[in-house]
Amino acid sequence: MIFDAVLTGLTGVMSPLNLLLIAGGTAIGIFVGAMPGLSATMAIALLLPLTFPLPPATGLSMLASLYMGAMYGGSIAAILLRTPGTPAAAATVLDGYPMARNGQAGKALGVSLVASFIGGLISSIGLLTVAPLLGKIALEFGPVELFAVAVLGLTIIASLSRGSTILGLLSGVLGTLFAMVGMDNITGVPRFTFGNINLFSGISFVVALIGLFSIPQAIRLIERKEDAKRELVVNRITDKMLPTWKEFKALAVTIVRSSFIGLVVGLIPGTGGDTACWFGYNEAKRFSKHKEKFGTGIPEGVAAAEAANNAVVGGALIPTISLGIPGSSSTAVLMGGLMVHGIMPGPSLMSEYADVTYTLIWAVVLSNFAMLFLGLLLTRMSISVTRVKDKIMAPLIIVLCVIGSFSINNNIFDVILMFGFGILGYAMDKLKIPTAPMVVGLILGDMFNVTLHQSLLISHGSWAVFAKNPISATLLAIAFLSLLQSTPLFSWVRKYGFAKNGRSSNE
Amino acid sequence: MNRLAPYLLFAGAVDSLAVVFYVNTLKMPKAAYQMPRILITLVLLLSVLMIAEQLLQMRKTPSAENGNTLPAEISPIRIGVFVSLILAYVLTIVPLGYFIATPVFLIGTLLFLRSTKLPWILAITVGFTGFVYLLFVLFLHMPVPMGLLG
Repeated sequence: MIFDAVLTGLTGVMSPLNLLLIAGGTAIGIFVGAMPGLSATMAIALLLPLTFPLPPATGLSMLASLYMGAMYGGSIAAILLRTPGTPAAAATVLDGYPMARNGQAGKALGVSLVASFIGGLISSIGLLTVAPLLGKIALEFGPVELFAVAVLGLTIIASLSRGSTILGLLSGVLGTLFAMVGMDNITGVPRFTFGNINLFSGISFVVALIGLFSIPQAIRLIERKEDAKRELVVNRITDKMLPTWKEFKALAVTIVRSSFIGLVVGLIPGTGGDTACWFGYNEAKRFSKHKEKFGTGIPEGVAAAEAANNAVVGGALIPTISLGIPGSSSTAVLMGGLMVHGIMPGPSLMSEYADVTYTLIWAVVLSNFAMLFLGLLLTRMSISVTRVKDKIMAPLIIVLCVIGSFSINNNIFDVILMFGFGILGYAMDKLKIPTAPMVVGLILGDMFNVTLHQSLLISHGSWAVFAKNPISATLLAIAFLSLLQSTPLFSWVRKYGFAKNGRSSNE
Repeated sequence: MNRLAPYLLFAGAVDSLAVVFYVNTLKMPKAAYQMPRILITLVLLLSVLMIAEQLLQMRKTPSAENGNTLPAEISPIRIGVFVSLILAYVLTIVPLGYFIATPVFLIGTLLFLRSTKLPWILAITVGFTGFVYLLFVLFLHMPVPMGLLG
């Protein structure tokens, strides 16, 4: 059955329109990634309304390709400007920029492209093999287990997001509370609509996403009195991009190691390309025979960071597709793409909507080839994109936000709501409250509501059902531990424990 | 402004929202209010914990206690005017229509931000307004408000 679905997905992705939009999405991703200050998440959120008229599989394939393309695109600015195009390319700066300064800009970009391709491909294969298996297990889950999965997803993303766990949790719980607005699926009672007919169908997920990810980004682009100075280290790439076979062989182990690191990091909700690139880079340095050369401009450093951040894409999509728990803010937005087409996140993605899901998985695989081909073609061109001024980009982003949110329901209320979420997102950003948990809360809100109700119906109102079920008990225990590990209590226990152990070993 | 003040403001806002939502649940059947009430309780609890955490951090780093929350290089006036321009654009796009509100917003904002020379501003405005119309309306058949021109 899985094999049939895999083949159906492969047939689906091969349609000319899908292939065209995969290439288009990848190209947009490369350009967006190359522009410092613009993130893949923002670009996916902005392009989400454009997928409405398209078949779900086609629209999602385009967005997934954009995500993959942006991961590579981020390295262009990192190498040429010393400013990472996306946070996931932060570690690329360390060796990429010195390479460009040494007259090896083309080679640095070529190594980045090849490493991104292999990292992305390995993680795509991981996605294609692990997601169906995990999805098959998840199909056995009932409401009790699904409630525990949702709790785990929210607590992990809250505790692993940057900043404090309390702020992450507050953001996630607020998002879940916002998801309660509208007609209750169980009772049909309107909740928190205050008589406003526009709120009866709930807060539009896409509207909230556009506001939370795009408006704060546009404001951040113009908030400084002085614009960020960007000086390109080269105006033209003159050297050869692709590494030779000998150079590639020397990098192969690093690339494969970093790819697996990225895949695993991507699997953990709340961590993404920004974590993976440093993890991959540090491990490459640790295993290297010439550690002292890292940071001076060696291809190994670029390859390690870039393979890891592209490998995150497939990894982050595994929990998203098989369990309905987004692994990163970008995959949360991708999930929003599913929801706008009426496809609800959860284990049913792998069975009920197998055609769409497997087409999406194949699109991720193919986007790697599109990235390699278009990367070779467009990288030289994208140098000019890095020169676009922030204060030109910001108003253009706003126009896309307003028109995109209006076109969803042809309704100005959505635009006002989008603006409100934008201001909320900016305020949260300034207070260092992460917005990713809020998005995950918005996605999982309905799942929380329905599964809690069903679980309590099964147990005749007894909350002990969550403790009696071994899977839900385990998942809830992990959720509790993930919260506990980020509290002062845990660090106190660890400190006390280590001190005691240290003393005993000395004795 | 005290470092704690923005957090107090945020906590006040989310707590007020939580209380309003709680009052709203009083009229609901149990099945409808169960989940929201759990969330409302969590919001109230977490907002208190957020303030407590900030107080603890302030005690650990007292030098920043009375520091300004905005770094010196950030311009509140620039942010304020930009946000006001966005709000004006949002509120006028339906009555005026896309073809009037968008160019006015783009020209106004690009001029205010001193982004580039006037001929370039005009070219960007015309080009981008046309591009968005082509993409949304002609290519994807999605609506844009037509306002006075409708």
